[in-house]
Amino acid sequence: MIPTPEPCTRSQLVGLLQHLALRRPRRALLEEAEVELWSLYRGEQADLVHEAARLRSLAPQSVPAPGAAWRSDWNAWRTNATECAAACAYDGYPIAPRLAECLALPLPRWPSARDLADEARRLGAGGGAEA
Amino acid sequence: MEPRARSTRRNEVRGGDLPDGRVDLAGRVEPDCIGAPLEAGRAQETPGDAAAAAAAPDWRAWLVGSPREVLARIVPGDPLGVRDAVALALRAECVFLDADRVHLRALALVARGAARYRGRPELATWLAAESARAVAAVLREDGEARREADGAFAQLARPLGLDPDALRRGCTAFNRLPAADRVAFFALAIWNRRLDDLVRESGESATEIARRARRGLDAVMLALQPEPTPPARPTSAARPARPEERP
Repeated sequence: MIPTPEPCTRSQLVGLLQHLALRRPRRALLEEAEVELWSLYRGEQADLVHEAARLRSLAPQSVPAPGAAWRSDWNAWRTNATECAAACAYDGYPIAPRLAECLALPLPRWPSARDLADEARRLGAGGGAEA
Repeated sequence: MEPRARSTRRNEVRGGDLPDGRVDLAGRVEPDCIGAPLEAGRAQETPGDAAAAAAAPDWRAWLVGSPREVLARIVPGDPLGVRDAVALALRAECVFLDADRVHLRALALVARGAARYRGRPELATWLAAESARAVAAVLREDGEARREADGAFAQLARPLGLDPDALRRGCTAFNRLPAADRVAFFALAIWNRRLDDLVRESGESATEIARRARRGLDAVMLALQPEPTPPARPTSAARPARPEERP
């Protein structure tokens, strides 16, 4: 059996790591940054849809009554989702259809919790934002 | 509101920068560079304007509008010095990451967070925090299987005949080590500090520092090892013949 040659020595590896660690970021292009912004928006939408699935499963038939334990979660979700959707729309980025439905419809008419969870997974919830 | 005249000072090669785009970490990235364009903008102000500027800080010139509008202001020429903030954040964390990826994430976070920024904490502190968030986010994602044909790992690894995924594995393993181990390895192997100096500064024994650095070395050495493969199922040629198969 022919032994596989070692691709590089330890000192070469350390030199490579020095280069990697000391390297200053290059100048970014606006187009790249806009793609990254979309990635961020998408991650936010994934988290919002994921949270919507949780809220939907809590009370499938009604909005939370005043004093309900999850009323504050509901209010926070409404605020964050509205802000995110408005920013996306203004910047010309798409809004996830399920998120748009949740914003447009009363909670009893939202998509099912399972549909929302599927959409959240598709968008990358729980695994970081991916473009 | 449109941004004021942008200074070119930030884009000049300073003492801490190397010609190939790296940053010399033995030298310092200028900590006050964040204020450069703001000072340039104030140069044309009257004393009355200065008082008004104190009440309405200049960050408003860069961080107003939608995230995409903010990006359009802060990416060309890097007027806020996000590159410097990212370089400092990577240095502070002692991690091996794709600096360009962290930079892009930091730009996006700054643009997205701009609407919520109200001048507190001061701009440099806020940018440092957003850069640290970018480092943390990319560290999280590096735990996932990501294969980028033209990523920094691939570009750096291939000339040495290294497998980019193996290099990533080594770097990821290193990045998961305790901070003390990472700092020791960076100090000795990356910044070429003297062990005696580290002993004097840290109060730890030379043996302990060397042990920490060794753990860092062991982690990055994963980059030189082939990807572990699951044990192969025995083939008919390799397995012993069944009694009925024997001649």
